[in-house]
Amino acid sequence: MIKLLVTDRDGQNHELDADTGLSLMENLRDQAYGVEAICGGLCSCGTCHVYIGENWLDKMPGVGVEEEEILEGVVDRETHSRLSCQVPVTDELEGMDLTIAPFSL
Amino acid sequence: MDRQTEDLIQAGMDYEGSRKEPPADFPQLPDIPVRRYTDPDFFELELKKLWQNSWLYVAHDDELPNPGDFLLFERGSAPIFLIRGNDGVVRAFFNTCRHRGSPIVESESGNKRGLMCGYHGWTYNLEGDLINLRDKRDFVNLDMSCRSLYKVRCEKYGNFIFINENPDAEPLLDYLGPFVKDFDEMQPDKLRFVERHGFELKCNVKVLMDAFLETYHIKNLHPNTLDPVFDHRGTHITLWEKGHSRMVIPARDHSLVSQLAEGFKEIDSVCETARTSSCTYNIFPNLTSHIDHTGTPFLTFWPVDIETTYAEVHWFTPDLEGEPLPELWKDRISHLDMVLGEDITYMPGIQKSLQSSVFEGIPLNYQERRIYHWHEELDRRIGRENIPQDQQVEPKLEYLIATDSPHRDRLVRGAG
Repeated sequence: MIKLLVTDRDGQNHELDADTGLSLMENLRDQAYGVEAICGGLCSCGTCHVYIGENWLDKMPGVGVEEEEILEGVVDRETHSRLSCQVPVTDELEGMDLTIAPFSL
Repeated sequence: MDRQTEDLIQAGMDYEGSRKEPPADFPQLPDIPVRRYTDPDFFELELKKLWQNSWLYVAHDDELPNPGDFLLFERGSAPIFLIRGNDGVVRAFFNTCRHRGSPIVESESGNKRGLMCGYHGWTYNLEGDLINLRDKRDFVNLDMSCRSLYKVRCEKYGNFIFINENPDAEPLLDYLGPFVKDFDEMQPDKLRFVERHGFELKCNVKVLMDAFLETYHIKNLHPNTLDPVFDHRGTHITLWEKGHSRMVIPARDHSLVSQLAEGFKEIDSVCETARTSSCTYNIFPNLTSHIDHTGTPFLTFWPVDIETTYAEVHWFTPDLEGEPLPELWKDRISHLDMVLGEDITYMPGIQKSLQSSVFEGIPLNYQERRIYHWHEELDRRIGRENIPQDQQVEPKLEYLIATDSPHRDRLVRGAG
């Protein structure tokens, strides 16, 4: 279990106890402020889009080719955009900050 | 109803009850050809020209209260679902992914935050727009804006949601026409959903439809339920354009009808005629309802295949303003189910007869003329030129069709 700092779509900050071993999406989707993730982690819908805090991107695996294709289709993509279903939660991410991307459905 | 209409209906019922024969100018009705109920080509025509081209009642607004709530209907000719968008608007779509046609929703009801096809993961929002898909590199020049879910026309009368597969159909309220004028006194935007249930029946949908268009069967099929209360020989009928019609059945004694209302919440605006008789409507093609100041059912009948019908009962109550549904409703719902059980007694047997080698035509009498009117409209919808001559219904009753204006309301001649 690690701590994450999540900023929701209304700008509110939340401290989230995240399970390591699950994906970031799986930790976020059950939160009222979390992501829709309607494909359930199959990397096909783009509805688990988040912005990762500065300096944390190199502590996780890079964007894969399938994720890249989906990210090309999401609105409001930024350089630090990720699909949270493709980000494994590890001890290395202790204290990471991230922001839920705007509603895209 | 205005006073004049109520007076005309009362005079009509008096006339019907006292006449010795049909009105002098009532035409001999040719038999309804039996092949209309059994010919696969006719069934195909009916699906295309009628069922895919009619306003059909599917649900009440209360059945999907929250954004993302959906209801799937797999009856009629194609699977269609309703879903409430984040903007609060209920929309209808074919349950068909724009990629390979897989279903988008897979259960009868539920809630979705977005829509995804389970086959290849194409993703749509609640408004039906395609928003993302896997392996875009392999779709060259795919214009996602052209691959939204297929919309179905979806409009409301009060809180009643109707759909129509024909994108060019006239507005729902125009289609409902004179029914709305009568039914408005039920305050349809305040009626609340109680429940719905349905059952399948082994007969062509028209066998079931026909049964709800006449009262000739009441003495035989409903000797202990309807017949003690209603006098079928006084039934007054108004035929309307577009196949719709109204049927008012006088009570043997007004107090018998008012007793039925005891204990139920009432709608003040409902007319006296509906309080003292049975004021029944057919909205062409498949909706039967009546005006009742204590609430009302909608009955809808759907073709499953040529010899299978799905019948559905929907119940609505006057707004209870937070109070619980009175216990009496249980009896009311089961009482109607019992009456329906009586209505369908002979239907599977009728279907077998229709398929036999000897039965060719159905003779209808004067009090069964709503059935003939219904079939005339069916032929108008299909187009007589598309129907083999020996399966057509010859137009006979157009002269009886009432217009919207009560001043020109042509009731049955002789009604005064």
